[in-house]
Amino acid sequence: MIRKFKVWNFSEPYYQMYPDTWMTMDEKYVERIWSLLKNAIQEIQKKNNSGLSFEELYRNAYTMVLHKHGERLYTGLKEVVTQHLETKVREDVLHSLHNGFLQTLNNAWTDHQTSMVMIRDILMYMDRVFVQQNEVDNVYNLGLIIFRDQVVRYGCIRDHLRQTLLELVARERRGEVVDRLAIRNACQMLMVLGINSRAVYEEDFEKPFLHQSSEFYRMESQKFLAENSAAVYINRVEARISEEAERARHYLDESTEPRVVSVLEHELIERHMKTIVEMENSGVVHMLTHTRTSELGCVYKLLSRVGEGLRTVADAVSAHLREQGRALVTDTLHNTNAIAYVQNLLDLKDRFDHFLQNSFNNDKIFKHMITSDFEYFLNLNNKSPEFLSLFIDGKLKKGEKGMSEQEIEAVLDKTMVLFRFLQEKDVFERYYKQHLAKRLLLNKSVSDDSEKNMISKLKTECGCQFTSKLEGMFKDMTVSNTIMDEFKEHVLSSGLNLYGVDLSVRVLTTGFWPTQSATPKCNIPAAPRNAFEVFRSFYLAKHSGRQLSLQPQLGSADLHATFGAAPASPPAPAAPRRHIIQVSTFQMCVLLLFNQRDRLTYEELLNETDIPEKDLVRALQSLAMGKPTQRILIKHPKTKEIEPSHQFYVNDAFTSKLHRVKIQTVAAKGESEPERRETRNKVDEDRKHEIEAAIVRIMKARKKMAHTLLVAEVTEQLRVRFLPSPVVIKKRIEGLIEREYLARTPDDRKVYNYVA
Amino acid sequence: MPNIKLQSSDNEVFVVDVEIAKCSVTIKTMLEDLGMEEDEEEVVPLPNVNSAILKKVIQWATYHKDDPPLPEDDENKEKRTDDISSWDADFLKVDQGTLFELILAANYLDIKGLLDVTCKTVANMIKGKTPEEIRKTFNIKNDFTAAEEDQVRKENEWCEEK
Repeated sequence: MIRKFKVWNFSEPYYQMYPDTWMTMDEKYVERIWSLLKNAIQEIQKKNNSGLSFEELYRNAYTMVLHKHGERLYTGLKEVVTQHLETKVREDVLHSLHNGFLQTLNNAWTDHQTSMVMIRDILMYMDRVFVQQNEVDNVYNLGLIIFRDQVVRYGCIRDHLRQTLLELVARERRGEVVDRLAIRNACQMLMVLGINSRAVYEEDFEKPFLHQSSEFYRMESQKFLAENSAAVYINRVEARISEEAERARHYLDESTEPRVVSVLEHELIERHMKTIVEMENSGVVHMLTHTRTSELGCVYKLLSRVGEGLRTVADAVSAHLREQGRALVTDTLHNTNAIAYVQNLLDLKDRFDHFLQNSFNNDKIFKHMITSDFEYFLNLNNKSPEFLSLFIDGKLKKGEKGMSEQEIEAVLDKTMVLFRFLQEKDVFERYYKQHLAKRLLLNKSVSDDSEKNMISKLKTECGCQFTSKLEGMFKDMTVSNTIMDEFKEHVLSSGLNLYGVDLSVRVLTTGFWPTQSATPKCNIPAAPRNAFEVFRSFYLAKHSGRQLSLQPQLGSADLHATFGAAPASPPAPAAPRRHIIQVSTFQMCVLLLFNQRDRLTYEELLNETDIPEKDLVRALQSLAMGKPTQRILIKHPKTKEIEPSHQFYVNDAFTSKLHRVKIQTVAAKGESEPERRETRNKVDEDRKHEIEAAIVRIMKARKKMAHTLLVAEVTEQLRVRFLPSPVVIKKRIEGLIEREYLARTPDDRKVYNYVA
Repeated sequence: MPNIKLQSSDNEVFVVDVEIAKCSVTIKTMLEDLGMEEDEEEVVPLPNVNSAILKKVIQWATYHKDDPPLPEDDENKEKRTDDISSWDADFLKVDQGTLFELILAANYLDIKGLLDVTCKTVANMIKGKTPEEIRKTFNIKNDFTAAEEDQVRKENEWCEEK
């Protein structure tokens, strides 16, 4: 421990402290005490304090103040300190301006602090009593103020200090090694000189420092951007920010760290956001197309530092996504295949979800952006609802390349995500019903569980109204199975004749299943027709008052077929072959005609079967113009088109490895254009009804409403199914007014009343 | 426990535990500045305090050595004079001269607790007395003229409780 004072130096007589001698301290004595103290202070300043007695000095200062001469002491102190700093210390510093300036200044500062502490200690009584009562600066702070004003902020010293510090920082930024400790000491000195405020540090150093930093980085950013790719630039920026933060923490005042970092963020990032993001061959779009996930992550991290940074990145990503999406959906060349269409969209979503998770930290801004972009371009193509349903249809049909239940479930979940983006959900519903019906009736579902699963997903999304009919379809299937069991029992027990037909009937409730505009006609051959009549009587006996109508477009038949029974021309094999062929009802009608005749023209077929042309053509195409293993009939001539005069006959040379041959229907993977238009019309009809129902519902509750509000309310209610246009809503309102559900109010044409 | 030697004005030396002595801020600062080592034979002189008073001071400090530190004086709060502990009250049953010297010693040595309690004691001696009674208690000569006394009384009329 450093010895600063001696214990005592008993040279001065002390003054007796008795009340009656209180006020009679004479001027001469005061003068003597003061000069003792003054001398002591000066010795301390000259670092000669080891010969001084603490107790004596303390006692003398105490005496002065006690006898009401505190003012004198205080003023004297001020003079002595000022004098020392002005004449000695300042001069030393000025001489060192170009030779060890910082070192000299720092030494002066350290010495000053040390001596002020000692001075404060001996003048402690004055601090405690006089300073408090007169509300002046205490001894230590007084010393700081004088040091600040007479040395540190003295004209050229102030400027020189600032310049020196800034120069050192500039050199370090250029890569040189500098004396960090010297800077640190100077900064800490400035902070202390602020006396409970950082004003001195701020004005004398920090402000110019930030200004210099701003200029430096402005230039560096421009140079660097011009010469480097986005990724390199970003790394460099991160490096610089760490460097500056570390610098602030180490030898500036740590409160400067956030300030200088914000300067960098402004100069290096904010000013150049768009440039970085949109840089050709290295910007965000480039990173997206080349899947540079981690680079994108760096961009995200960097730009999240500044206010509008993420928005800028999101905008660029969004633009790219929209472009990609739009290209996908409007690519008419390749958009005939629904499965590929949807799969491409799912892949696109997966791709961007990958970026969302791994580059963009699941940020909400980006999440919303992806959602709104998908909503935008998915609905650009009005076939999206149909294609989506077809895709799901594909997954739920048998024969999918062995996907496990979990795999199917996962894909369906992803598909549901796309479903949410659809605006025209009612169109989807219509197609889904159609496709589900086909799957159920043709027994093509891969599993009932997967189907039910899908329906419950739809229910969660859209409520029961959406799915009640679908569930009805399932119920019908179950009920039909029960009826069939009862029918078989009945036939056995009553010994009824079924004309050699093993009949299986499914009864469908009309309301649940998708309806054709009109049930196609068809001339059913005798045997199946009669068998069906047996069933009809059975059923109507159980449920009188109901009507059954046969739906030939949905049925199928298994036929026993013998080929090669007739004499054949080589290279047909000799022995006759038996097969079971699985065909549609229409195809059954066609084939059974060949039991009576060998050859039939198209025209004859048309007349005799009474099947609608487009269905007949499809049936014939599958039978005669498919793969050789499917060619039951031969067409003559072998053209693609079917003219009325073209002839058909049985292909006796037909062979197949399988005993049971299933004839594939030429699958229309989508609807034909006329079919699509028809569906669209139906949808529009339904929508009209839904809009009217909504209007009436709302008006009934509110009784009176303004036009614009009504339109808004209707839109809001219906948007989960489709987006009604205000024009259409207006028309419906007018329709309802005509039919006297609503009326215009007499005083304001734009307000409606509900008419009870 | 390290000790320290204190010497009164009449050259009597008292050996005191350093921690007790440090209740005086003056002595505390002195020790820190001196950087005194444990086995020093140095003695701290207190020429302002005689042995009788110094003894009393040490006695008070010893009793109060485990007191929690006093809170900072809140300028706005009124100071009470009725919260003197019974030990302190007993301790201060001394003649006026001793009492005043204790005040001066506490002031010089910067012992806040002792200064507070001694001043409160004197304040209690003043409270509730008429000017004449106060003069009698403290043996103060009345140096007002009749006119001056009248004026002062008039100026302070508002203090009088009616």
